[in-house]
Amino acid sequence: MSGDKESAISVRDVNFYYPGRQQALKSISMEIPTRQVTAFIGPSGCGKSTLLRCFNRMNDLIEGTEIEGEIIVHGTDIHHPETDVSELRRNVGMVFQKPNPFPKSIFENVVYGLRLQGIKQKSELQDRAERALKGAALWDEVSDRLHQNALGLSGGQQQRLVIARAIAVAPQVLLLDEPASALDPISTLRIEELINTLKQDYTVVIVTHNMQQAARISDFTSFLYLGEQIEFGQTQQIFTNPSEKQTEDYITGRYG
Amino acid sequence: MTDHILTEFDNDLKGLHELLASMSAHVEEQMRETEQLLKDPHLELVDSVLAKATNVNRMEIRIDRTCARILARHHPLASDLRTIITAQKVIADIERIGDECERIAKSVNDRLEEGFDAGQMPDNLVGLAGLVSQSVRGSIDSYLRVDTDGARQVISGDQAIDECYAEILGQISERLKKSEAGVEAVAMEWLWVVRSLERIGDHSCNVAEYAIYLDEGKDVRHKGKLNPGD
Repeated sequence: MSGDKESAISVRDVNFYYPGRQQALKSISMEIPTRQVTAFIGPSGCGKSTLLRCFNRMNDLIEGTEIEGEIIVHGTDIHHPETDVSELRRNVGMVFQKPNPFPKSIFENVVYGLRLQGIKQKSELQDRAERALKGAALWDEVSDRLHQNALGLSGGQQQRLVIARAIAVAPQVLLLDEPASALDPISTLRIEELINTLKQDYTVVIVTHNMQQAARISDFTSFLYLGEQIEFGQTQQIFTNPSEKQTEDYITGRYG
Repeated sequence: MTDHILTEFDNDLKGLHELLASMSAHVEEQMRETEQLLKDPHLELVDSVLAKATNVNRMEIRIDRTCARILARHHPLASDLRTIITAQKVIADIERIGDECERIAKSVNDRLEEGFDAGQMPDNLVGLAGLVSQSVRGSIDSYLRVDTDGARQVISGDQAIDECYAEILGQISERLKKSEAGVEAVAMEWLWVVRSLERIGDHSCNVAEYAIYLDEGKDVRHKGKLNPGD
């Protein structure tokens, strides 16, 4: 379905259950192409965030959840007993709806993951912080105040800081869960512009409620409804001529 | 199709459809009068064809504005997006159909002023006008009713128009070869009329192709042979 693009994430017949065998995902299969932006759209409760959290095993943190099927991230079966979950989460970074900088300096936020990896050399930390901040299109705005508290940044800047923190550890995949829904329109556009740049180096998977945003920034789109994937395809096709009536009704605002 | 959650969106699209139907009705009527003009030329009919042009142009502007408003307010997607894209293209084609009718009416007017001689009209010109008029009715109807079978009939019917056009061009060419005094200028005038009819047929085909794109999302222009390269 994703054409000739190499897959970063292969999802094969995945079922997911919240505690009490409440099924949230039903037989989901898809190939998420490398260094492309893939958007998950669908009404609230359709399972898009749950699916996103499967990719770095964030759902493991909820006791009593169960997963069936297979998820392969860059050749690694993420549920294999020998898979190192910390390494998986380093390789598959995640950014949430609400910016969550630590109450530390801008610099310390960016190098947080690097320090966890045991990197101590100041020059390396500085180099990588600069690279990450440039990659997140924030360097020009904060280069002269790296040691000020990150909580003093605007919401949009905080979200880009969190993205810088995620990319500082050089992941292959970035998961973005409604990264711009709490931001004003201009900050949203900055994040969208950033996502467009990030796909040169990373595979980006984004959950969004904003249909126009999915249409603007993604290459592929998956429409989920009641835990099932209704349609997966190139974004241009999904937004101009979807194959499924349910997709058509949802994206045209006819979904009741 | 199911209604939109936002009633205003449905109202705006309904308003657009009504404007399209109204503009189309004007142009269909212009075409019908143009066909009649070639069967039975008289000045009142010329005036009637010409008088409709202003209304058609006014409606084209209103429809363009309506489309711009819908794009800005509702950010249409999928079939709604195709509705707006095709509306803007269809009005350009039907406005040109109106322009060609106007050209034909002016040409007939010139012939009437010089003393109309039906004998100088190419044979089967009325037949061609009939085929073209039928095509215009069919294409507009297929677009407004989103009837892809009807649209495909219009597209396949274009061959008959092309054949009739070629046959009449042959006749005109023969007349021009004879180079009799006074024949050449009149033959050239009729040549423009024939070309206008053929162009109307092409615009009509375009409208039918947009009807197919509107319903199926398939671009069948140029018989779907061109690769846009994206």
